[in-house]
Amino acid sequence: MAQRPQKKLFTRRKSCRFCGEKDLIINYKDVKTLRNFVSERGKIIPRRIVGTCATHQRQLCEAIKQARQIALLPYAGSSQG
Amino acid sequence: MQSASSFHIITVCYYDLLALCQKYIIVRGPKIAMAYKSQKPYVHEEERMRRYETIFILRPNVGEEEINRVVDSTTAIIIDEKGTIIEMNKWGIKKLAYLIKKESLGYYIYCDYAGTPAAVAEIERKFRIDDTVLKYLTIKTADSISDDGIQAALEAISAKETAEAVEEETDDADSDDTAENDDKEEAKEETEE
Repeated sequence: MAQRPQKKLFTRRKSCRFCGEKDLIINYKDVKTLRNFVSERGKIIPRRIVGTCATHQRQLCEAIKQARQIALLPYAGSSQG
Repeated sequence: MQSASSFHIITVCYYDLLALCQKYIIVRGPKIAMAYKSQKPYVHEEERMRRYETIFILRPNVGEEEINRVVDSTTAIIIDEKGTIIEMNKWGIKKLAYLIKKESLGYYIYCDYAGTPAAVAEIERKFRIDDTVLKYLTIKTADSISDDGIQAALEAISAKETAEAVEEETDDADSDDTAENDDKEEAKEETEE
């Protein structure tokens, strides 16, 4: 691969937050948990950085998109905007 | 030849043979066959109760009457289709993450119910026409829910509500209790001494 930007070098969580002991339910109404997986500008954070497993990342994405539809999360822009 | 009352169940059987050996019942579709096997009455798909969650956002400025009107019409549609409302929660005014129809605040209402797909279509149609409703979102949480399931859900909701009410009471009561207990303990110590 060509030059690697620094961001990709730091270690991510090794275990999925949802698969682990915490039985957090992924729900579109739960804005507080969802915000952890959304960047400052409202973009969904990729799985390789957060460390979730594939199934939960898919469920998360669906929940975030549903929350965006109901204006609980923004599509774009800072969370203060 | 037995002819079923509803047109979509086609039973082709010879009554005498059927009575004797119950060999052939040709029905249309596996779901109907399952119903036959489980010996439950077959409910047509359009009448089966599914569990839905609807969130809708109303304009913030409208008064109580408007809000109640929208809520009542929604509940009426659900009940007309013989559904049950499991929970109706008004979240109140919240800040919207983006402007909807130039409004930055919205009155959120959350409804959890068991209903038919036809009811959902009707509710959404009404919402589309209504100016007060800014946005709506309906999600299916369960494909089919039985009466027992509805009962269980209702009980769970009421249990949650009572638990929350009890929590609030005990929080207030605890602070009082601890003060009283301290006094009582002091009194006891004095008497013992």
